[in-house]
Amino acid sequence: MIVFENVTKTYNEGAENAFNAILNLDLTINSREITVLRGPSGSGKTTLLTLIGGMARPTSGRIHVAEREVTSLPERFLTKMRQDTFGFVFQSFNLIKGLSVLDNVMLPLTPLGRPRNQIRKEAYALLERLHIQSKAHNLVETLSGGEAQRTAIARALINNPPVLIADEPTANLDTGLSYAFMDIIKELKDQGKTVVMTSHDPLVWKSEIVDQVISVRDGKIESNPT
Amino acid sequence: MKIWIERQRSLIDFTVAGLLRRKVRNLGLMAVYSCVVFILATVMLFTHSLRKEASVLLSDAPEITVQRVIMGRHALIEHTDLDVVSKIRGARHARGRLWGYFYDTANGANYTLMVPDKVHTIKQGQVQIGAGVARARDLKKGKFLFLTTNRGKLFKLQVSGILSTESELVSSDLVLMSEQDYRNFFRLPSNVYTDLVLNVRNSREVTKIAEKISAVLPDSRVITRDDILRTYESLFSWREGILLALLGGALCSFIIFAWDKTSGLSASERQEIGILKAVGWETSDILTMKLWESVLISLGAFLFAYTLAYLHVFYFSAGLLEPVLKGWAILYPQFHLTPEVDPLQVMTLLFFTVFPYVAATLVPIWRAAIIDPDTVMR
Repeated sequence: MIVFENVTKTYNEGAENAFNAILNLDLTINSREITVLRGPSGSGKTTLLTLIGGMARPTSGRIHVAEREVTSLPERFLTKMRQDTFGFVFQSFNLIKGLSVLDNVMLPLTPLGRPRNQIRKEAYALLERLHIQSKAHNLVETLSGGEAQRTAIARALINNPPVLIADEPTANLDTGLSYAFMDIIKELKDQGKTVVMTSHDPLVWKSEIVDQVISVRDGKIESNPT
Repeated sequence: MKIWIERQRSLIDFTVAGLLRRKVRNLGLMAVYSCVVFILATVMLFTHSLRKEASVLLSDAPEITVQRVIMGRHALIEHTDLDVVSKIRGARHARGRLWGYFYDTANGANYTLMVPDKVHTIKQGQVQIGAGVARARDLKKGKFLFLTTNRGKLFKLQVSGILSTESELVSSDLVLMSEQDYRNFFRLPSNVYTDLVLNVRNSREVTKIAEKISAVLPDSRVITRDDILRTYESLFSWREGILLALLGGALCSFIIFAWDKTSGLSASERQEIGILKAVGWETSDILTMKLWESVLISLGAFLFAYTLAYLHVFYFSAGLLEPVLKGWAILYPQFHLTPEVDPLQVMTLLFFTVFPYVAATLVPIWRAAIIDPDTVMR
């Protein structure tokens, strides 16, 4: 379970152009459920996602992950938490250009000191599961949108995290690929994983596999979303 | 330990892949780096070997040289002074030497004309010449060397041998002739010498004997072998210093260049750091990876350039820097230096080239790596 208590995130704090991306927000995300954060651009969805995933720290308030207060954790522990708990799928996939699909997927496990052969085997297995094993040695810049997204999902799942975080996962996909993505998410849910996504795509937030939809506007949760 | 090795292997794999992704930039950087190290290493290797060569050659030189000085200028010394020096206790093998310079208007070169020791007697009418003179005058054994005295008289001397190229550092411009030819050529009376030389029975007494000579011949300058060696040392050090001072500028430019290339992290590099942090890399992982990257570039370029400089100096006679380092003479010696590497010099060069580069690379990476991945990616 992920719990936000009165969380505020202010960018450029103290400067003239300071603004609150998230303001005094309370939120609970249940384990083994699919939660979608929806809202217009600039509403604070992505900021919320980075706070959930420990990629940024709140300006004030507290965040609990699996009953552990993580707001004031030193950077080293926060990194460890990202390593063990979260897998990220970014809106623009954020694959590293110039590297192959396989190398990108293996990236999270690279600094852990595990034997390369073993990591490679696990990466191949994931690529097979996501039906892109034939592209394993292709450079990521040669992939189509759907292939790049499946590569990003494989990279997010390589360390077998209990929580998958995805930022606008269908924004760059056509309808067919969006449905295929939702099938993958259903599979993950069936495996007992928690999924948190941002999306303003009705195909996502209206999907029957989604357990909770949270509407965000101006950094706050809307009580009566339209 | 096994985990540590596996971790380093994985990071090196990733680093190499990263280097290949930015081929042009990294190759450019390595080329500039190699150029700087190559020139610095050439100067250091060359001057160090010259010093070593000079000290080996001078080990056979007389321990003390006595020159007469009149009005602060070197003057001819008389035979009676040789008798005085010979009688000093502890002195042995005192003898007069005849040597001088001759400016050859034909090719604008200075030759050193000299009468050799008694052991290397040369017949009247014959000469032995250094390889530099042979090259300048296109002479071989059996051919004739023509020299004109300062009174316009032509001297014809047959070349009986060319001096060994192994000693070319000191013999390149040498013309050895008989005592009679020498005295006739310079119109010297039979009772004078250019200077006197002697050895000492007990080598620890050199300074003492030199003091005694100064006392009995107050109008003379006494030079010990160590003095000559020190002069060579300072001469080569001076030339090396001038070059290194000039190269210091080049080194500074390189550091600025490296700093500019590595510190100005591009948006894609910053984003890459953000991605790595987001997928679970620690700051130390990123720093280790970047450390490998800078070490591979700097150490690779250093080893490549140092090997090139070694070959340049010891197998190609330092062709690029020869005129600057060998001296003012027209007759540059052509000789192969004995390979000689000073570990302290290697470490100094390594420290002043690799260390600044690694620091220039790591500082900005560290600054980018310690902030939240979210900030880096934005």
